Amino acid sequence: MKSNNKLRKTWIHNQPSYPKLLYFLFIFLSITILGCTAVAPWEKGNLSKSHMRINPDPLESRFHRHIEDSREGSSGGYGIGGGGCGCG
Amino acid sequence: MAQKNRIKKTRNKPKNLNKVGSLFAAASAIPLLGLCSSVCAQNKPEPASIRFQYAYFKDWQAGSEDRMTVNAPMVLFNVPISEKTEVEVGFVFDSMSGASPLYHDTLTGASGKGVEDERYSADATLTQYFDGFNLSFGGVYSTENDYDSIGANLSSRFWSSDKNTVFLFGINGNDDKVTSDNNPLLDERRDSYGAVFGVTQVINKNSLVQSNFTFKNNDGYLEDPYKLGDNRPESRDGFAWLTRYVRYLESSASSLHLDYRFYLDSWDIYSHTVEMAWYKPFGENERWMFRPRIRYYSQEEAIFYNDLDPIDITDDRFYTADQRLSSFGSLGAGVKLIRDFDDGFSMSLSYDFVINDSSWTILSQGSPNIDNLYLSYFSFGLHKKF
Repeated sequence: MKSNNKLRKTWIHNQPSYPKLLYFLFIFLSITILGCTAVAPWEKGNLSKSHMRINPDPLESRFHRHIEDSREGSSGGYGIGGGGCGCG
Repeated sequence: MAQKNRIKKTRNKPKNLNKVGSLFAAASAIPLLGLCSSVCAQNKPEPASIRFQYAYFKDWQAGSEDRMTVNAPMVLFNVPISEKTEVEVGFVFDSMSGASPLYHDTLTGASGKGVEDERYSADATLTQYFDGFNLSFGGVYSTENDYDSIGANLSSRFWSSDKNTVFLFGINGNDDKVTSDNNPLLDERRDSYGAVFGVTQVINKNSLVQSNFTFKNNDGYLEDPYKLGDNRPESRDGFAWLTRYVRYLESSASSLHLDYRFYLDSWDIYSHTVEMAWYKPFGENERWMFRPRIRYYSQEEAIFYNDLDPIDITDDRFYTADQRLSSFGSLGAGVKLIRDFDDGFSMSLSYDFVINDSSWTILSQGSPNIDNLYLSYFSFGLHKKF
């Protein structure tokens, strides 16, 4: 248990600067904000198409995430939920 | 003594942890996107629908044909039970067979023993809609021979009055139990909790962007019981930052999906994932849809990953030879064909092929002495909207 606490402390104390990602995010945000225009409801014809959804096929993406999470060392980003191993 | 060693190793750790702090700070800047006045809000229950998918998956590497095969039928129901309430229920049944991880495991090799397992998983989410926000509560249960998991999650979405900006907040927790087919004495716990914060923003009448930031902590028995000598820290914190961009291409009446994910954890694993998909409707009344996709993934190894043979590890150091925690790159490509019929009914077929190669990393040379892993999966889907 001690080792876990230590790990957390190390984590917290090691949080200072690594600016590159921050810069990258700021650039991304700036481009996004500058590029935004007000879109009225009657202008959303294209946005409302089924293939314009962020996740057009939730069941297929569940399966892909499950395979990827069980064959790679990374996971997350797509939301919360899920459970089980099924790793093989 | 063992604990002391662990603490010592923890101290000498991850220079990459530094990156996490600023990533956290960076995420806190995401709400700025909300300044943009211009969606996409999932602001009311969706129409009822049923999705069914049958998926077949297999992977293999040199010297181990059909290492693992999975057959997985799954179904997802979405039912609005009132004007303001909806329920989503999913079931998955995985049937796995094969020889499980080739690299330094305890199931293949001398014993030649294979793996047969079945996983049953069910989840349900109840969502209640209010003015300007919704609230979802979900539960998930999954069981297989050597792994049981039970979890719950709570999330909420808030949208702007013009419904062009949506914020997502969520938390979840899982309580898992790990056992092993070849060690009847193993009975360990693995707990996890996580949080997500995200924003979806309409950029203009043809494009939108979503950025999600997730944190996850795993605590407890994190070893793979089928890996010889596997000895991992009892805690793992992971951050993922995913940004998804969707663009409608008027010239070809199609849409382009671009995803990028950065991942970093306290085991010093970090990765980049880039995914691109193109949705192209075609045919009479656009009843057909063709969707090619490509995905590239590059990962740097865990700090305690080592390709030494486990029998050469004589002390109690952290050690794993699990190739999933090594440095490697992965390139995958797939195609999907969807056909819409009358009355909201559609069918789909898809095929994906993936190669994991340790020399395909972008930031290092990759971990040595690992055979390529090949993955292939196929799925057949049915979707009915009411």
